[in-house]
Amino acid sequence: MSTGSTQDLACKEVVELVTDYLEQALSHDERTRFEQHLALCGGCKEYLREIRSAIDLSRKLSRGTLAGNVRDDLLNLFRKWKAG
Amino acid sequence: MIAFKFLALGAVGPFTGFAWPTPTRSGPGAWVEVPPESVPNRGIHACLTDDLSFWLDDELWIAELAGPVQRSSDQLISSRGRLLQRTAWARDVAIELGKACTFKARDAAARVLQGNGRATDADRLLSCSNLVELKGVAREISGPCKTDSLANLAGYVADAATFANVGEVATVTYIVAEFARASAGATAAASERAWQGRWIAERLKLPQPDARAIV
Repeated sequence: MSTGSTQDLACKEVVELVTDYLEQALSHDERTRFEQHLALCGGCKEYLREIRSAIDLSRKLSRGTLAGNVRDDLLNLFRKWKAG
Repeated sequence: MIAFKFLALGAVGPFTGFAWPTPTRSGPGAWVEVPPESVPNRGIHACLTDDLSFWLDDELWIAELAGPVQRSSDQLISSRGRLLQRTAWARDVAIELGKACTFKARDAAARVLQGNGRATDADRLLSCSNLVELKGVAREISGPCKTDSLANLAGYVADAATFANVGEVATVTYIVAEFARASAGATAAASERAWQGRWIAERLKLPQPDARAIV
């Protein structure tokens, strides 16, 4: 695509701002620019939808829904990641 | 006041995922409200005719806003709103819009080329009768060199034709507004957006909102 306006957000900026957007921490003008980007970028709109879904799903998780071996596997992976 | 609201399929807010109450046989959809003190940071968003093309989506609804209505950054914001009626906006109308925007940009680019001693290039653009042909010719004229501002204008036309041809209409409206900005500045970009909105309003015979209600 040809050059755009300097006020337009790039996809990378949208990814960086998505948490602030969901926490309603953006100013009104920032949010408008964010949403105008979404209106013409299917990829970013889908990204936002996925983040919302992940948040909704994580809210539904409870300790009891995780099998013991899965919990241990995850903790082992986390320890390896921290050590490595 | 009457305003317009684009929604995703099923009358769902495209960013929030909020499912709007739709009209029933007995009347308009239920009012949706936010605390008035939360406006403008949170609120019911809709738009006027001039701003329609910023917000293209699957469904276009005629909405009613109540309470103080503010206009800001290409949209209207209020603390109360409801859906009145779904318009005839559909995929085929969107594709028509994309084509109309692209050929309007083609005509403008041809005028600029003509006025700058490049009548042959202008005539080549004007001879194109469909998007595929226009995309090819505009791309040839734009060439690989982006430092030639006249050729770059043809590049915008090639981009618009490319996206119009695959039905990416929101992208087309953006490219053509940026084409206007590159040709004649920010005011021209705003005028292009307003033209796009009027095209939608005229094509769908939308009612004219009464902007006097805006505070």
